[in-house]
Amino acid sequence: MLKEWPLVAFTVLGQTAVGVFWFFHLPFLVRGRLPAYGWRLAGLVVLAVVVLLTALAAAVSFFHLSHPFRARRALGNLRSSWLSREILSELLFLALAAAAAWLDGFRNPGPELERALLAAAGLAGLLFLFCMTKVYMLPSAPAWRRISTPLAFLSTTLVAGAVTTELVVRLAAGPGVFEIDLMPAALVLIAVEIALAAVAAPLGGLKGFRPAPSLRPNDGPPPFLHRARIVLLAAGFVSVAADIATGGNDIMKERGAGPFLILAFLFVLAGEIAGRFHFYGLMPRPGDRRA
Amino acid sequence: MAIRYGFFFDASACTGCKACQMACKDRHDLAAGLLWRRVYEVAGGGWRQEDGIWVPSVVAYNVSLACNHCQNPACALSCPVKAISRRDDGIVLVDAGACIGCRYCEWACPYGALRFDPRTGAVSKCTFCHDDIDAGGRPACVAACPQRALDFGDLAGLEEKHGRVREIVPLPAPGLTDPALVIRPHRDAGRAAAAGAAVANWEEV
Amino acid sequence: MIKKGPTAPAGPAAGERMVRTGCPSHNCGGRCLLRVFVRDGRIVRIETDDRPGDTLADPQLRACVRGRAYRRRQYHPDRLMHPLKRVGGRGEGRFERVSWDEALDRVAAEFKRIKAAYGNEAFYVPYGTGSYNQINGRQTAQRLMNLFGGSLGFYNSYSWAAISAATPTVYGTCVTGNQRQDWLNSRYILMWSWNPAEMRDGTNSEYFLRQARERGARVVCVDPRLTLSAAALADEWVPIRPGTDAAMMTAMAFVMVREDLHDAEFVRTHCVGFDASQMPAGAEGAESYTDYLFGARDGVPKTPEWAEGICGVPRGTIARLAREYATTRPGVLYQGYGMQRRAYGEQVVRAGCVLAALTGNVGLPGGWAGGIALQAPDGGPLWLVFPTGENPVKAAIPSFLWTEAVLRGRTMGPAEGLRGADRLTSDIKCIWAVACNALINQHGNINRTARILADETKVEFLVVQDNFLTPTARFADLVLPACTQFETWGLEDGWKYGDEVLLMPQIVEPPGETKSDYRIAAGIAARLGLEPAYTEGRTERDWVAWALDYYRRTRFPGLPTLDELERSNAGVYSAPVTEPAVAFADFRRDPAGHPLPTPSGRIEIFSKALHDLGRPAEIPAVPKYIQEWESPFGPEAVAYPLAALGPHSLSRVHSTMEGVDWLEEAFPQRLFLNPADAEPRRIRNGDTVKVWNDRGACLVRCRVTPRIMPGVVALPQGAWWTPGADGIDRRGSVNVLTSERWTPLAFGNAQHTIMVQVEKARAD
Repeated sequence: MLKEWPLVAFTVLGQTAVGVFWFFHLPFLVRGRLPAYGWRLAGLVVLAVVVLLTALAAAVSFFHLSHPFRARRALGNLRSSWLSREILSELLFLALAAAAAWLDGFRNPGPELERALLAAAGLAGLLFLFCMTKVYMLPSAPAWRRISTPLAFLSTTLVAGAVTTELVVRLAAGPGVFEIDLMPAALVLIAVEIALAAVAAPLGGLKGFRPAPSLRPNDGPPPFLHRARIVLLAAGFVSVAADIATGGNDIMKERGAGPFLILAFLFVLAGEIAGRFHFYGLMPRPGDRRA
Repeated sequence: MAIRYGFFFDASACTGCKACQMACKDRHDLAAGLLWRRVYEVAGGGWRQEDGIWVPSVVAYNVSLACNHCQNPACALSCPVKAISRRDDGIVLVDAGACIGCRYCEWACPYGALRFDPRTGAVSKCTFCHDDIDAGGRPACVAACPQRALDFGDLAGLEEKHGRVREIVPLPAPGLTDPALVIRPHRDAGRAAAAGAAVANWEEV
Repeated sequence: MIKKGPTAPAGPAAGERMVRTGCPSHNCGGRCLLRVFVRDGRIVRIETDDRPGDTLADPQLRACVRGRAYRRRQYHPDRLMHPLKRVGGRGEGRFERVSWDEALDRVAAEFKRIKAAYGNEAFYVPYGTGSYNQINGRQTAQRLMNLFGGSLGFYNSYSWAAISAATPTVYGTCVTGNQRQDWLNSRYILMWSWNPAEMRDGTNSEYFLRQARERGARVVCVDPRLTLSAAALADEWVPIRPGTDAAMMTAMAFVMVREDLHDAEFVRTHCVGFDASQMPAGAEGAESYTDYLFGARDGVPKTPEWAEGICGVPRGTIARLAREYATTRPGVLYQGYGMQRRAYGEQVVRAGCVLAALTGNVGLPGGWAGGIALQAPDGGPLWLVFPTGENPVKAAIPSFLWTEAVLRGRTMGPAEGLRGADRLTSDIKCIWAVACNALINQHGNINRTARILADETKVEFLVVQDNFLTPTARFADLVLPACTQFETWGLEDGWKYGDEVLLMPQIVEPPGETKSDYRIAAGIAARLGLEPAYTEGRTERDWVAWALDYYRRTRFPGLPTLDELERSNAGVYSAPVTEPAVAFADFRRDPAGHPLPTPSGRIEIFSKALHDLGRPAEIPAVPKYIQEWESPFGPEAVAYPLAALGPHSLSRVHSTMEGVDWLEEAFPQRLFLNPADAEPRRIRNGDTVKVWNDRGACLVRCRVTPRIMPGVVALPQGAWWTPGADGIDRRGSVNVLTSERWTPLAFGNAQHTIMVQVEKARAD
């Protein structure tokens, strides 16, 4: 399970990237107008962060390959492999986000083009998320082939996305420039994820659902991972609340990324990582339980 | 009609001696830790006390399993680099030279047949001893069985001879992949599910 | 009947050669054929018998998991490559490499010194079967010893002590078994304490049982464990408390007689001692078998209710099995050997034989007389024919009592099983152990044995010859590296059953400085001036030719010569069994004309000879259940409430093949216990547990399984004793728990009679 760390890193980083992209751009795309001038710098930084996270995700995924130099062939089975499709969708998202950043930074694209590009990147992110989910919704993997998998991936996207976006924006653009405050949303999303995790426990989602018969051992990941996930998310929740209570994003106050926001980011990230290790622990590799 | 190779396994006769597993290891020189054919011990049921006497209702049998060389091989379908292919005679093979070692097929195969070989950095699995088959021989496991509980041949012929059972506890539903497998069930197989029987030797498979 | 597979398997690849050979024999119950593939002087692959046909009369001899894993033993990094001499204290395991010359000079010098000081009765070449074919093993040493003036002999074995002594008390012979193909004529087979799938009781025994069952025989297995055999070969499993088999058999006899289901006519005409009407002369008033069954003397009728409380088998089951076995004829009651390696192991052997007689299954196709069941008509294979010559020392001890002969040989007499002499003239002072790990690992009560051997004033010189530094070898003064059976010539024939001769040609060169047992003994012989007499100018291969000639003269008239066998690369010569022999067929037909070699000429349900021993409490004249000296019913059960068994495991042949990675992977060493015993101890599957009693303790991982009876634990025998600094064994060697106490009649080992306690081990 711990040896699945490259996959943990890949999924958490990729999902965070998509979340950041969505949270930053969705308001503008929905409202039909592009960010105001003061936003250009913040937008550029956010796009750079998205590109960086996505590229990092791609890079780290090489660590779980024994033959990374053969990996260029990994797009070879789009016809039937969700893994190929996942890689393609990730590259698509990365390319579109990078193109948007490049245009933003070095060209001056027209608003139509920029909106189209951002919308396309947003949809590619959705596709990426969808493919990532499908990779694990294997008919042979009942422990994963459940609603909890897309819910887990989506909540990582939203929770980590919200907190990371808030952090990046406040660091990059300074206080008072973001048009919406993501912290209340983060508060709600974290609460929802905690609730979902708590519900999964009594429903058996902690050990993985094994319809008898099965050729997978019926013991799941160590329970401390589940507990760690909930405790860390709860700590993130408290940090977000503290940030709000101390007026962390009060546009009238001159405050950047305060300590509570940084704490919230770290707790949330750690919680998501713990949750993801737990997720991989649901499906041991064949032979993993051998003496 | 083209031949489609499959295995026959007689669970009613298998003692769980693992000669098949060992013959496979020796034939293919598999290091300790790597198993292409495994023997799953199925055990379940329990004991109750009647007038101070322990009375068992225990279920126990073995399932020897390699690769089922499925008609719809989930491993091959999941492989991003198409390193797994199916021959015209149904034998599913891994091309270790093409495998990138992503190990996705390990999860995709419901039978746990794909096994990562750290020596090559590639996944590996039962080859149906195709070199031997092509030369007119038999898979090492089939030739090894002291109980003559394993056989191989054209799937249609095996089904004609032994019936069409290919699902006993603890095997997953065959509809997933359409395995080329025919099983003669053990006497306990019918009540295995009700007895909560499951694989009892995870540390050996 | 038997499907024929394709008969053209892939042959050797380019650059390879293939040699057919008998599987190296370490005294498992099989004798199988291997096809060994060699490339550049190294074994690269091992396959098994592929002879076309594979008929029931002459089935393929397919090797088990151990033969198939043999490469991992052959090329194991721990193999002994050089002679070693001890540099630390006995048993510390510290050694230094020495030359062969130094080693053999030392052996010769010690032999001469000890002979001069104590005489030849001080020498002992102990029981050991780690290398067990005609030209390899302890007999090569015994031959030299006999030329040197002899050594203290032994009789019986750790496998069959009680059964080989008790069977003749009923039948006058050990040849009580039909050829196995005859099982196909049976309608009912009771596998009692018999586990051929794990011990391999003759190559193909499991296969014949499968065939018998497919022909409609109902098979029931009585065993405390739901063994591989019980699961795969039987229709029903009847768990029984260890050591109480004789009680259940007695109750079955009670039911048969009470319900008049026994073959009264057969009993009347062929048996003696069944009831008061057929007591032998001189014992007219003694307790007959029906007296015992109905409690005429002891007031206890041996009802199923009585047995239920002892055996833990429901009374209804006991009565049903009695009725089934008595009325479903012909039937087999096969007695396994595990239940006779116990405190009063003789009783269960006799009780089983008596059941076979009561049901009239003796001398009948599809029937079975019980007992040790060497194969009719001639006792089966020839075992060892390598000529050891006559031992000038006539005194012999029971094989299990060698520790007594070390401690107090000069006080031993016939009451402790000594034969051929009234008293020994010396304690054992010199041991030459060849392919023998029975000094430490396989003997009862390892901690005691280790103390005895560590005392250099007792055994003054201990030389051990083996492939590995076994726990026994760690106590040696001198360790001599023997080659494996692939590296020299050998020959074997079927084990107990089977009418085959298997040639074992030398396949690869001995590595390092290893030598064959024969070559080592010849080297010692040279230093004693006995080489010409020892070798008679023969090589190992010449002795194989000699043994083949012997086989041809005595049992296999059609046997080819060595040259022919070698040229054909057939590996095996077999005599197909088309009409399986039935033991006692003549006696059944005409008991007066073909009497048994018993004192009465009949089946001795009551043995006058045993009666005359005058020890009815331990050696009754009719078979009885006797509570064991360690049992769940004794005071010892308070501290040690669990009965422990040391069954055979497919991961080893006794202690041979320990540490072979492929086998450890397949069958890891575990303590097996029932959830009912695990839960109150808070033991979970996979935990490391401590198993102990007054004699010793070990730490081993456990398997919690419903396949063993509550109150019973099993720790497969043969794991190598590996004590930690605290003296607690770390590998699960059952003999730290077993006892050195012997059975009353056979002086045999009772190593399965042990009670233990188990707890979850504290983390180290």
